[in-house]
Amino acid sequence: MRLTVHRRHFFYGMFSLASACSRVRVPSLHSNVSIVRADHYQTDLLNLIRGILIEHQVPVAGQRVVLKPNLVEFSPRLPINTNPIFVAAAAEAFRSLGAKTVTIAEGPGHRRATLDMAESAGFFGAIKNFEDNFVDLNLDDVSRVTFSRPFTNLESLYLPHTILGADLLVSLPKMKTHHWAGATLSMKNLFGIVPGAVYGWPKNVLHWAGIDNSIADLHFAFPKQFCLVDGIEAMEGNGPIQGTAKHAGVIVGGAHPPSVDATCCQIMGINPQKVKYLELAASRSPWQIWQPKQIAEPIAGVAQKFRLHPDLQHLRLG
Amino acid sequence: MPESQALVERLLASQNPDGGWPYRKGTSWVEPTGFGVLALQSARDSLAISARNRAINWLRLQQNASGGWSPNPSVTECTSATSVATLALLSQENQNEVLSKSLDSALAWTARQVYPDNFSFSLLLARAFSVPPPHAPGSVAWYPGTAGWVTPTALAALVLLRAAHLKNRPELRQTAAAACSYLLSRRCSDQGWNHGGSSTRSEDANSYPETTGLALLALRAALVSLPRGSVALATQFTANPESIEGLSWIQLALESPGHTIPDPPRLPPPRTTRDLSLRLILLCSRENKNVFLPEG
Repeated sequence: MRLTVHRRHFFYGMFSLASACSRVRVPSLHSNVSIVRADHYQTDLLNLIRGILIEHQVPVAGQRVVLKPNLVEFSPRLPINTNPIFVAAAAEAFRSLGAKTVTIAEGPGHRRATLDMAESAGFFGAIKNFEDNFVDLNLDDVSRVTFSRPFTNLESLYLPHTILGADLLVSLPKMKTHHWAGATLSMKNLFGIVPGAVYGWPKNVLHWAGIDNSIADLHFAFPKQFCLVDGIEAMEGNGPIQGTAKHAGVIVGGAHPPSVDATCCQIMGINPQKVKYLELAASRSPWQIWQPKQIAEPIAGVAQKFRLHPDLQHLRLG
Repeated sequence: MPESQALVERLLASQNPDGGWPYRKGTSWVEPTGFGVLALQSARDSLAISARNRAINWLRLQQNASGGWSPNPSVTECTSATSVATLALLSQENQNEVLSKSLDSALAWTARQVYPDNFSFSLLLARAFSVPPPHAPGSVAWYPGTAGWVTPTALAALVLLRAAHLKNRPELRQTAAAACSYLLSRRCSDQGWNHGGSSTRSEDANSYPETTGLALLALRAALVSLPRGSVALATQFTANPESIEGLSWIQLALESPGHTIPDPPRLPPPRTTRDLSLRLILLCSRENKNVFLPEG
């Protein structure tokens, strides 16, 4: 028993160290981004997602994979949450490629009843044994992770063990406009890993530290990620909660979150160069905002003009 | 088996060997442990009494020298988890000297968390531009130094009002009154409460059952006359409360002897220690007393 505790502490200590060191390492620059058409959720999503993972040669076999969808509200009607059918297909795709474990994990920012919300949003119906495979990140055990050169004034954050113990963190956001940050995509989705049981509902410590800077800090803390954006039914206008549905009919995937998000912005008619957190990501790596190479569909073939909050018209592309 | 007995058994089975409770599984956290103590307040069974005493002991050991509690032993900063721990200690009938000292420092810590209505440059700017001030007077933050929100403010008000009554400390009632004013100022346009969202860019945000119930309970504890529109909305919420937490807070806020708010046809299942405890606290309040109200 004593040995287990020591090993665990050693492991989380090592994670903190690795996270801190990641600041001086060049982050992964596999900046290719897949854009795949998917008109509706009844499409063969499993094969589409498998295809993306294979194309990007994601090392899945034997890995502990944690899928982080965006679960915000009870309503299954509005496109606020990542669609549970999309999450189910992603889980199945990772399992079919030999993942050792696939855990679904999320820590909503406003409402505490995460499992009730998941049930109401359709996750119990869409995903077999959902409750057994799900971790509420708001209530998970935590360890302090230190940032060595943060953009915020936060020197550290407590983060959940489920996330710290993952071999591969997979961000599964909903493609949505955001009334403060411009767009909420795979990078902003990581706000959900910050534990409410420590920081509260909402996780106001991140807002106080600056939304864009916090997004960038969380991004650099997790150099090994994959992203699959649910852009089938997206949200425009006063997102991320009070916006309206926008059919975009795409899945966007890639290993480098800023590349994926910059591509999504262009699909939404948002200038990625004006999105502060992307600018921060670019400022501390050799990555450049217009660098990502899109594969499968070209941006022009799927681009739409998402309605933006009146205060954010300056973000409009072109 | 009666519902309350089944819930007590589930609660006892999930207690950690150190005496605390996890939210679902894992290490002990202050908030579910505090709720666990409150849920077992009326227990007469020796196993339940022993579980409660071990939990109280665990809570006492976790208290920080400042008087507050961090939410979990792996966290160093004291947070609003302190309110639930303090309510748990206040619920103990036998207040020995050690417990009394512990409570005094906890109450002092809690009172300090209520943001004062002092003049400040940021408050002036906020008023000039009609935006919510960063530290709204009367509000309490989840985490030190951040903005105040509905849930931690309502919980702090409940602590201060109960302590004012039990320990004859009228000055605490004044601090709680500031918290209640903040709560009244943060109602949504539908007359209920959500997390306390700012009016900026989310002015028509919907309220939630759980925060509406908790805010009403705090106002009731302060003997504030409950806004009719808020009561009507809370009553509507009970038809589809979304969670057992939401239903329990509303029932605790609106029920009184001889007046029970019926459960919906499909009762949401308790999923965490906190859910279990809140449901038990509600069931006990129907037979004994409401542990959140000053007079019990």
